[in-house]
Amino acid sequence: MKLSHLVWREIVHRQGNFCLMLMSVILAVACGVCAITLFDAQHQYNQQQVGVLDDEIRKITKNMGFNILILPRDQNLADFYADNFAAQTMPESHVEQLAKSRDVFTIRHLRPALVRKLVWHEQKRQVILMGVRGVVPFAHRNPKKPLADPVPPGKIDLGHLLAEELAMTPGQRVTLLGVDFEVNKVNPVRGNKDDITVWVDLAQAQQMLHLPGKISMIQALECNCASVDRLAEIEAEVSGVLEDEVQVIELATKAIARAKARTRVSAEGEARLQRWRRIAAAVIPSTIVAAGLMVGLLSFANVRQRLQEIGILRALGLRSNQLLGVLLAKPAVVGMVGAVFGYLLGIGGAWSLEATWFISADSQAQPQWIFKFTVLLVVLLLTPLLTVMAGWLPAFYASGKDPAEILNLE
Amino acid sequence: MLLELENVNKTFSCNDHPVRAVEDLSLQLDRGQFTAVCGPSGCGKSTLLLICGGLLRPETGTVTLHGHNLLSLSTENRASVRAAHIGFVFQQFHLVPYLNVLDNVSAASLGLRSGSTEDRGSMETRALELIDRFGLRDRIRHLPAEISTGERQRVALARALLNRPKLLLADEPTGNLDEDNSQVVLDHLQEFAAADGAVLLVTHDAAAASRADCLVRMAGGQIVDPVMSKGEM
Repeated sequence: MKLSHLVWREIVHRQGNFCLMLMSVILAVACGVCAITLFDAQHQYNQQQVGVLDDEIRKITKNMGFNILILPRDQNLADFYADNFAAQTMPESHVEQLAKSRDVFTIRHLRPALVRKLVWHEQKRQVILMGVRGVVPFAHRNPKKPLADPVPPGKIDLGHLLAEELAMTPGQRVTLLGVDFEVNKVNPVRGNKDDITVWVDLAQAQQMLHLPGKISMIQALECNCASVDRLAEIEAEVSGVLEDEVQVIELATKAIARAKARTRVSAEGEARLQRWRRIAAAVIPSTIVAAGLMVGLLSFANVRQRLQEIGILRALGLRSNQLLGVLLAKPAVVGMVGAVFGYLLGIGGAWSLEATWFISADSQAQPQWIFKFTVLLVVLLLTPLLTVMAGWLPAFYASGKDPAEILNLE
Repeated sequence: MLLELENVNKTFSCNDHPVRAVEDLSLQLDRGQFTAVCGPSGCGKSTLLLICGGLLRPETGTVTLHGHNLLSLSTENRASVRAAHIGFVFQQFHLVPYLNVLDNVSAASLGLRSGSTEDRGSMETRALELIDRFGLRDRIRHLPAEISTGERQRVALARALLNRPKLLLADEPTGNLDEDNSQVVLDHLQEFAAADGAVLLVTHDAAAASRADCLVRMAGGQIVDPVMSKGEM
């Protein structure tokens, strides 16, 4: 017969004591592992969310810098934001002045436009008419690939929604404000006012609107600034050329919105991470102490129950170190089994909580199993060590008991 | 001489008053000798037995077993000597409640040092032999709670004999048994002594004591009558 057989038979005989010890260890390990795993999940989730927004920003701003609008000085910005276009005009020559200037460094592309919201009588539809002439190259710089193609005279480009509703296709002929055009192309869906916009050549638009030589805005695209206060930097350059005849505003692009969202998500994620760090810091030590106390108390109750057995084993010649081994084997087994099941329960708990806390109902994302080998290793090594430590005092007390005293008591 | 006690004294403290359990006691026990120690309750019989078994350390005197001075040995070495040379039988049987009959008998081998043990297979064979000898074959997988008191004492006796001890220390082994079972136990003790073993039986039962070769009467921690052989009893 081996001592391990004695240990095993005792565990089977006093299942209640063993199960209580095991449950307390499993719960403690599960809580700790769950807290650590949720912390990791939060970290991953943060990175994922920020990554998605980073990706969107990268896609949106690919080959595109910071975009601004140069508007006539007397344009009321409140009206501009309300109407989505500038009613006031400025000379088209401003574009030439900027393009010829040697003092403008931050702007890469200039695109003048004349914009008006009007009723397309022939189609009985309200549309936005935009007269464009393509990108005006800077005279003193190497030519760059234009960001937008001009619309040839006599042709018209249509927004997607407009073309769809009017059943217009490229090559078809249409009349706008009494002028005949051939549909040049239908733009893809953009999800904004562009979908109900018509684009024509700037000169033709000026003629149709009786505003020769006038434009309502200049789009300054792909602006690259070194300083944080980029708008002021661009405005200073533009004012240096056009003095106070214009005003400069920032285009509220998707990229800006995403960048703001990214900052917000990142900050919120970091706050949640901090909260998890605090929870883990509170949960782990308290569960270790609680489980340690539980194992210690149950071990003490167990050895008190086994005193007669301990006395007879000593009488049979078992040495105190053998007896200590027998008494500590149980907490060690509790620690090993508790570590494995506690780890699995902790991982499982974290997985199910992940679905509840981190993934929104409308999301396609699935919770992920987060395994960390180092956590597993630490749990497998530390748990039996801690349970043996918790059971040490009762075992030491019992193995040092005088067998004669025990047997006499009986 | 197998067991020799010389001028042994043991005192206990009871409510801060010293109580002399064994006083200047000397005793010798040789192989093949079945000695009974009789006397009223509290006369020091059980204390004497525990001292003989190296479970209790007297304040003065010497205890020599098979050439080992038990009092000069460390606790661990004394445990090893106990495992190898002494078998215990108690009134309350002291069986391990969660081990079946076979395991309870085999448990005696746990204290043997690896160098001195027979291999595990032969110990199990011997355990089975003893179980057969004590008529417990059909109870082999039963727990102590599932067998009768007579059977429990037979299990305890089989356990005591597993390591082929030289000395058997029996503390009121028939105290909880009926007449038939008492006779079975005493028969086995006699048989053990006849096979060159030494038996020290502590009892207040005159009938049990009459089965011994020698009788020692104790009172107040001392031997009151000289050792009597069977013929003198």
